[in-house]
Amino acid sequence: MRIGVLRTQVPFVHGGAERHAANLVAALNQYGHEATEITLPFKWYPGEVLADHILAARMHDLSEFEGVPVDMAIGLKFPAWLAHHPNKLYWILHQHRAAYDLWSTGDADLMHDPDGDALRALIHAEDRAAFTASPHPIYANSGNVAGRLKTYLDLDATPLYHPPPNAERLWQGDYGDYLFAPGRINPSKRLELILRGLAATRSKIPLVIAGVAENPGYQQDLHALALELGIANRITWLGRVDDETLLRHYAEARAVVFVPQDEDYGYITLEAMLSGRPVITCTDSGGPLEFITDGIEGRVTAPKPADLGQAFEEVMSDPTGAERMGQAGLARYTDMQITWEHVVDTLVGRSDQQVHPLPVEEGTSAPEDTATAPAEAPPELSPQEQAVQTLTAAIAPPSAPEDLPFANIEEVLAAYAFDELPGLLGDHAPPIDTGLANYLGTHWTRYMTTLRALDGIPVTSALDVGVFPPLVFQALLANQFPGIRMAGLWEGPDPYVQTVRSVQEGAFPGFDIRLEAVNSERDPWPYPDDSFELVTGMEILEHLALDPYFFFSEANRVLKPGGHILLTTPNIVSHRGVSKMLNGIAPYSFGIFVPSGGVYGRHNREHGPKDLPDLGQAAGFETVLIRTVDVYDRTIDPKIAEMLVERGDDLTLRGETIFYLAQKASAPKGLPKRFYHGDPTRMTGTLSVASVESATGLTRITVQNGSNQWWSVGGDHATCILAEWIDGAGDLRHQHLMQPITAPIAPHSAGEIALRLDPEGIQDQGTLRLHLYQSGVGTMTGSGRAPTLTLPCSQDAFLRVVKSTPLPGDVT
Amino acid sequence: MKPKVHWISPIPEATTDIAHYTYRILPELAEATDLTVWTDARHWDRATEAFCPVRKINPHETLPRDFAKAGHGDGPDVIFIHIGNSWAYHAGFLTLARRIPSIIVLHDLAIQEMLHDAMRFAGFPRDIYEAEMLRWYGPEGLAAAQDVLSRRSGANVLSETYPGFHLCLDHAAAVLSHTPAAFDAVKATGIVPAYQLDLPFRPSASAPSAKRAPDGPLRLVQFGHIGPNRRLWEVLEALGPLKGEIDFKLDIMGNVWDRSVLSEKLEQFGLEAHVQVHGFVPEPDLDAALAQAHLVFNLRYPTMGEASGSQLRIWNAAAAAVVTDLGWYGSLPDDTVFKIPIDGEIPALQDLIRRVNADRTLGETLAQTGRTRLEDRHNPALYAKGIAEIAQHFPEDAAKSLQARRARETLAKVPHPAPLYDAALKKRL
Repeated sequence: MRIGVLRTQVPFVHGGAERHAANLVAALNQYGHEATEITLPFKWYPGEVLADHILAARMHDLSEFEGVPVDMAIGLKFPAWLAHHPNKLYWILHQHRAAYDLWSTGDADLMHDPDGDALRALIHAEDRAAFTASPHPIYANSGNVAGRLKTYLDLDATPLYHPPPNAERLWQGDYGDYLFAPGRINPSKRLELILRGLAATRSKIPLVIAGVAENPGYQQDLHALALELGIANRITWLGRVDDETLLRHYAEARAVVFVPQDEDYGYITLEAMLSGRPVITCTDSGGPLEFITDGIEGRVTAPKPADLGQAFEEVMSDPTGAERMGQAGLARYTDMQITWEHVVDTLVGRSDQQVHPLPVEEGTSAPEDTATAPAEAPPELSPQEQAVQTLTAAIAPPSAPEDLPFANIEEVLAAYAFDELPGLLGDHAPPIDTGLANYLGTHWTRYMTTLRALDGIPVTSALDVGVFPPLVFQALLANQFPGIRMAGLWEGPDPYVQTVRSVQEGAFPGFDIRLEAVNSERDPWPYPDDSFELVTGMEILEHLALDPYFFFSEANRVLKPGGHILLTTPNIVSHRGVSKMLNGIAPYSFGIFVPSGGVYGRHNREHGPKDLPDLGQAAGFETVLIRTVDVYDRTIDPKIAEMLVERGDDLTLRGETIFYLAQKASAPKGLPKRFYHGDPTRMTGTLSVASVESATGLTRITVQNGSNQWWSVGGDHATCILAEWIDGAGDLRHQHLMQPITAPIAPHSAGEIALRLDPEGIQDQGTLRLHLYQSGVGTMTGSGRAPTLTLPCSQDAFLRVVKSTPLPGDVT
Repeated sequence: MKPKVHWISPIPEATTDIAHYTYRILPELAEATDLTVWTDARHWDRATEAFCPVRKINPHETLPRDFAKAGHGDGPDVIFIHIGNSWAYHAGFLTLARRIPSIIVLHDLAIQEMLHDAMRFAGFPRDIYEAEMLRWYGPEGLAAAQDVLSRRSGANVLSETYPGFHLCLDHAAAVLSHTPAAFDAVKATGIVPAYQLDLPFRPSASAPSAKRAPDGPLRLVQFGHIGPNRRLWEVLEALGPLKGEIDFKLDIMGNVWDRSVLSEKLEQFGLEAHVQVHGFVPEPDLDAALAQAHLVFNLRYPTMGEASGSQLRIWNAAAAAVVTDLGWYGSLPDDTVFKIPIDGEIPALQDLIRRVNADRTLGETLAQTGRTRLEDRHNPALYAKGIAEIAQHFPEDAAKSLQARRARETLAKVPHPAPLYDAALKKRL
């Protein structure tokens, strides 16, 4: 998977958070993913600037870059984790504490800002919205961080521990005769408490302090305090140290002292454990308490100098006890599976064990434990079975929307009178047609997956293209989006108008709808620009035979700025399509002919997942989501699964149905040429007789360019005329391509051509049929947007026209 | 959990309707919320503290930490700031409202007099005022404001076209008003949620009689903070010609904005013997005067739709009032007040006074209906419940408002109008 790791960056500051993000990226890459850090600069003061940075973070779209999707974003820090991505997972380093625990303790800088209350509310609202929108479990850096999330937002998070930066290099030496206090030096680390604890001891215990103060003044204060307490000669200030020195002191100290106030996590605890050193900490130190139990892996005392001093004395006077606690800490660390491999497995799975590639949720066909406890596949599974499990999880459908009042299609059919006719005949609750219910029931999972794709999108108006009665999906939309205005396009031939009401009055929202009869890939859609917030096309794209770009472009036109298009269509390169191909069968999901339905009854072109973003991008859309899901059939050929996994394929794109959600971002940009022979955007026009001089037969014909493009008279895709002569018996005898158009014709403008046909009095001996023709391509007639013109014409007149009219290549 | 409400309002000893309004609802408000009242006055009536803690606010310096420290209860801090048209009570609150996100309780839409007095007497910066007038009302609004600043026009006249309440909105999380007109005006700005509650008033325990003395002098009353828009000069002009025709007595109770002009007017119209100017009187005295009044003058022009605490007091006393047929007053049911148009105001007043004099029971039904309306729609418990409900929305409203404000301010810095920015913000927010 391509994974973006989101963190904030305070320019020129490099600390634990930065190392943490870099290590996560390295681990993801090590286990087969393609990961990178995505950083947003962050300044949190004054309050207005903090609000700006929240706003700025919200404005970023990380769903894809250079046309290549980012499969997942892992949010580590606020507010970077507010950036837009449809598949975000949170591993919370810590929240913006000034809006949470520091506010409660009265220590938040926000309380000193006029906008403080509003900022706090804003941060809570943004965090809550972000966390609850994620389809994944929330992970926290530590139990302490998870506890704060529970306390302040009432959300559950799972602690997920990771190794400290030097985990592999830490070593154990003898238990020396000094205490070691490493780490950043700032008031929250409470060095002064350590000094006062040291002063409270009766024996002359040495203390080695490594690290530098972020504020030199604070360091001076500590030196002064040591002098004042009379312990200056027992303290060695190492300042900034290299790794070797640091590791050596971890390895050779009697114990490590770490007494921060409410630390999020604290590498120092883990580094001490890996060095086999007991840790002396305090009851209010936060993170360390998740690893250290008093008397087992170290000492936990009240944050008082006397209590701390007593613990120092005890540890220093009992080297055996110190060793016992140090080794217990090391054993506990080992038991806790604190490895990057475990982190990667839990968050996203290794590249061959994807756990959260897509929003897979409870209640789906995915293995039950994949969403919450990925761990490793059971050892008894064969590689094929593992591959099936992995693929199943990657393309499993999400659960139904939580607040939907229906559990299945029968409940929807029972809830609504989709047809007014029974009611008009006095039958207000006709029995459900079981055949219809069975048919629609097969689509239920697709409906639910479609609704879930709309999570978080406010919709008040929607156009469904290719809809037909009964309007079941519209009923679902009416329940999901109260007050929604809906319209539809269908094949016709007549417009369809219906008032759909709840069978039990008022139990469910009713709706009125009008379906216009339109060929959606040929005819302009009968709505003004910017009419809808949502256009849906469900299982329609594969039926289009002529011009899908026109479909996308019209969708763009009728959508409001920022509106969404949601398309579902069979995936011709699904695992099932691959299986069919390898077994010598055409890979269509629906490859049969439907004579009763005309050319649109069958699937004319099924698409691959990459086709839709290409078409959409050309038509001015920005992809929000592209995923595939097995919504009909859940069977998987194990050999195919194994092959796809082995190839390292993006399994999320191997499901049977494509779900494509995109947002209108600009006007259409231009035809995606790889889909077309010729340029259909120019294939709209008419030929009509402007005048006929009866004495000479001179016939002036208006050539109307009905497209949005210029018609050139030379070069590629020039517009010219195909003339056909049909004799009196009705047989086509001659075809001739010519260029009577003398000048380019502007969009929606007309030119004129003159042909000398027969003067009055000549008996009709045949017919001239004129086609608009795109040079190098063919007649425009096939587009359905350029009808032919037929005129009476003798063969002599036809030959005269052929002789006197330039050929296409003659005109430049 | 009750909301933790910080109620920033004038309170007694302040002699203003808004102070009385706050005092009236304190028992119910303290019951419905975890309430702390804040004032910037030096002195206040200690009786207020029987209901909730009272704290002193410094409009220039108070910060969220102060609210967090001073309040009681577990809910989020919810701040209500009361804005009216008197600089003495509201200039400081205006400053605070422009610093701290809050729910603005907008008692007047037309606050230009307060704004101009705030500039003259309370140091409100003129450059900010002018920038805001330009922002909200365009070059015409700024020019009109500058006419007032250079004394070519009056602030009350300015209010008719450019009411000024917009200057309170930028940091507002929401606005609560007491009339449909004010609600609509706030809503029309499109930048802040609007709420509406009927102005509360605690009715006297027993409904007084609406009957009035059938003989003796016709008793007339005008009371309150009597500024230029209370039409006192017009009332006097209407009464002048009637003095030989009708035996009447007008009691003026309250603070007349220009006493010297009042003296001139009384002399001009020969009304010295018919008019008694009391100044502010204790509430029982005022209520007693209203209980005897055949007609109370409660006219307004201009009015921007503000509700009248005075009218509630008049209804409480089961007295008949005449109001201007405009704004909130015009929206009152016809069977609760006499209404006169602003055009032909003086003849209409004279006609009404003659009719009331001729039939001393004329106002009886109006007064009774008004009293019933007061009891049904304006009781403090209902109002306090509404405040608690509005407070529950405050965190969400404040968050949205802050985000919208920053987006506005960011867009305002764009050198050229760019719809693309609007579209991008709309897409993500």
